[in-house]
Amino acid sequence: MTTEKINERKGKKEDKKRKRKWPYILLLILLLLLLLLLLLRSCGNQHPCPNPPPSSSSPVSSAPSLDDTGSAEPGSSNTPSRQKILSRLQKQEVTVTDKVSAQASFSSGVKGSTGTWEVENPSSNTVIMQCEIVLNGETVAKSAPIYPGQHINGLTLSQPVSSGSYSVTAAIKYYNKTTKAYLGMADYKIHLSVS
Amino acid sequence: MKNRFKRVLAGIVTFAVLGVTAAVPAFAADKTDTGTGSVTGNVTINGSISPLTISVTHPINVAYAISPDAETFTAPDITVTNNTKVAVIATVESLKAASGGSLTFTDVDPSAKAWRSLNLADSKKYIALGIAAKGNSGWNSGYSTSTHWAVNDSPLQVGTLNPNISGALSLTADYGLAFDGAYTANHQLVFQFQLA
Repeated sequence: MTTEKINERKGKKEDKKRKRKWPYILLLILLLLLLLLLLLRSCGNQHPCPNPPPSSSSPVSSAPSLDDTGSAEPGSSNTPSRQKILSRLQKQEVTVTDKVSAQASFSSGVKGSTGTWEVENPSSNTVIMQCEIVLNGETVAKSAPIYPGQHINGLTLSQPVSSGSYSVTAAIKYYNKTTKAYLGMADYKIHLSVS
Repeated sequence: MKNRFKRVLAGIVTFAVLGVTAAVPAFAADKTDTGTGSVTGNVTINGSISPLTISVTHPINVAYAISPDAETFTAPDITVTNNTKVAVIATVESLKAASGGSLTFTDVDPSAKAWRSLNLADSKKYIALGIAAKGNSGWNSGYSTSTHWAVNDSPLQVGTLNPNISGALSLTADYGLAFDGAYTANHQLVFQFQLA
């Protein structure tokens, strides 16, 4: 009888002990779950990750995560200074020196006759020059190409011109020395004399 | 022997004298004026004058930059130097938008557009580019202070430059701000020079 009672008491005590343990076990499970969640979260922010987060295109995606590789420059972005822009633009500028005689003269106004007119392309220039004499909007004479360090003494009439004195335009066209591409032009008011 | 030598020497002297006498009229068309009392002699002086060489140093292309964020237009001064022995007149014959860049602008009057409100398409299409003489930069007094706008066809006589003097011109512009990339655009500037 006594042993039965003792056993009963023991059983009750063990039951009580088990009942006391349950909350602890539950708490432990909860803690473990929390830890697991935290681990999963931190996995999402770091690479390499055994289980990569779903891509942004996935409909069940969470908030986008930062790709924390590389580094940016400190401070605000700086636009180039006016001085820097100016010096860049000045480097693109092509400057020439022209030397043009103020008069072209022809002993005859017949087409094909040769006259005198001096034009020099100084060796300091970096462009090819070609000159034309324009009378009333029509080119009446055209020079050969004049390379830097070269000059012409005369040119040939490509159109007949009546004898007389004219105020004409000497148009100088400039071409790139390498590509032969047209760069620009300048005009000179000169005197044309045809005998 | 002595006589022979004398004869040769006399011959040389005779030839020399005759040569000089014959050569003199070839150098000067001498005229003998004769008369009694005071004699008037007319002498014609023939001058031969060569044409002057006009020499000017100038740029043949002009570059500019637009920074929409800063709302700035940057262009270096355009310097023209007169290397001629006398003064020359500089004229801006034309300033026109040209092809060759990634954009080809259409030149318009500065008052033609509400520039800061231009949309993307119009910002890439329109510009009002002008050129004017820079004060105190070498131009003789009486130089033009007005701006030549690219949209205008009439030339602008800028002013006169004395020998070995440089004058400067500056570019000015009105432009849109809506640019969706880096672009380049060209304008062609043509000067005309003549003796003053």
